[in-house]
Amino acid sequence: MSHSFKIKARLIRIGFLVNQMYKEAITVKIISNFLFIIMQYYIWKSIYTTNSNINIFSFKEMFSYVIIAQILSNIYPMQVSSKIGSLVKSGDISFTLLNPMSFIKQLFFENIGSSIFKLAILNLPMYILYMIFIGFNLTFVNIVKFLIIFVFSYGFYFIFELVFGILSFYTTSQWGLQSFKYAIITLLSGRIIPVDFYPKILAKIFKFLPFKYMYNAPISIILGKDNQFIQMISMQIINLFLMFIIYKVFYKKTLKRLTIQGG
Amino acid sequence: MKLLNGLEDRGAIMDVINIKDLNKEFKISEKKTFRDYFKIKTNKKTIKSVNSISLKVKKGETVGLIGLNGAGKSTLIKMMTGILAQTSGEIEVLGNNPFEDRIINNRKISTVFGQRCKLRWDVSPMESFFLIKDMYGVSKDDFEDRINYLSSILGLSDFINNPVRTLSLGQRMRAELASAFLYEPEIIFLDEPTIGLDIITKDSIYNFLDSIKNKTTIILTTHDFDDIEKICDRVVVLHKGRIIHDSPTNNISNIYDTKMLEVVFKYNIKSIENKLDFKDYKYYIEGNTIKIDLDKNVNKSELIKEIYLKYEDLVDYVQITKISFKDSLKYFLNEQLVGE
Repeated sequence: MSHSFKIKARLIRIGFLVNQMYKEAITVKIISNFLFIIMQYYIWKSIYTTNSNINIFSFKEMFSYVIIAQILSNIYPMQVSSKIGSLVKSGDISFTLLNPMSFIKQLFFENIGSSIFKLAILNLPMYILYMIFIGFNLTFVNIVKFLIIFVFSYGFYFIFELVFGILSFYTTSQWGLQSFKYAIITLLSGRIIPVDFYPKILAKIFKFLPFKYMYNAPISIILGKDNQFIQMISMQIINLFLMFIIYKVFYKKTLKRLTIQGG
Repeated sequence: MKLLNGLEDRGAIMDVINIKDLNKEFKISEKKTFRDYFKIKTNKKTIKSVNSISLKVKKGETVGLIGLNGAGKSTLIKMMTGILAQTSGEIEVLGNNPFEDRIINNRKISTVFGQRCKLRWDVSPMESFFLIKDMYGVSKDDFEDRINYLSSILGLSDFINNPVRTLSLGQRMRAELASAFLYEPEIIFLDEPTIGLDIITKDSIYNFLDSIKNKTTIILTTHDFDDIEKICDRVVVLHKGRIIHDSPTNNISNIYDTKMLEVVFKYNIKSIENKLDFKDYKYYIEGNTIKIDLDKNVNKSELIKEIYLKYEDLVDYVQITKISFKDSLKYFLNEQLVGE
């Protein structure tokens, strides 16, 4: 076993264990997942019963969308920006520079561990719910395609979180940033409402932006509603690259400020 | 020629820290009035936190950095560890520029900051220790030896498997200290490692540091003078960003005369001042007591005889005392403040 692999495995293990430590929190999270699903179920039900001409998704597909979006949202590394933000606020951020392995890298692997926990344990009731109410309506090919897309989405999400974390250097306080982040994700990514439901012009703009790859694109792929797989992957690679550049520029600037002005 | 180069190299390694004319300035934005908080451009004031400091530390030395709040101790430590860039001057730690070669130095140095938590908050110290073992590439045998040693001397076994967030401050500090010695650092920086700890915990930390002394270079900052006296061989006193004193720890109490004659009177000195005559001596008054410096020129027995003869009915008792380390340091810092 190579040495760096060992460190990564150790970090993934820690990320996994941290979630395991808070069993009560997981229980509460599962309950809130159900509440959220119930709410969305009735909203979409009333939309579909009053509008009979919705041809984007069938109601069953829409409900699948809702559950899969919930599953994804559980897995994404959502706490990264607030974690960095709290380190900025307490001033501990400069001490992370003393690590022999980059702090960001550590954070990444810890989050993978945490995501594995959520994938395997937190989402279990969601899988059961899906099987009971929808049944197995996914094809093997679509699942594989989805997994490939999702790997890139996960990377993009992580860097997106990093950028927001770093922005807290400039705002010091986090609450404005966090709600801005949620607004972006809720509106532009298809977290709650699939992008196609928006008016044509808005949908066009949203499809041009990279955020739809967080929810809208992978869910469309797994449900077999979108077949432009190759195009999607290439766009994701470009997005990931651009986001990474943005992050690097911000990070360098911030690091300079941190090491000259002491935070 | 080759031999000479080799010797030079060894010379460079002997001084593990080499600082010359180091300066660090901070720009602080001033917010005085209510309106200042709404201005986009605020008045910037430059503060010199470290002011042309030169310092050399040899391998294996134990150096205590002391000074009042804001003296520049932490800033200096941050520059030595490479997380803060200097404004001007030269700094070399283990032959490297600590800021530019931080990644290289990170593996060779170790830090404990009393007010920060380096251990992973949600998991046990042991889990963090394993991570450190892998990150610093410590072999399994070495790791086990060190864990056994550290846990016996610092008493970690009771809580080594409990989540860090459930530990008390003293337990956490001991675990932090252990985490800094799982690999073999060449220099260890301790920034107020005993802050808020009880005497027993402090003692176990002193014992531990004593056992590694001279093998590892230790740089320690503290407000607790006992720490310095117990751990350090050398004291560097910082004041307003400058080094105002640098000497072996024993010498601190020699800054002042080591011995004093305390003459305790039965009455307040003020009421009997006109009857007393100590013009020939260096002395100062404290309540009922006159403290006379006993330098080499003073004949002790003559003086005591004289005092008893002259002021027989006024004197309560006479004693010879040695000024304490703590007191002399306090006087020294006070003098600096008064001298400004």
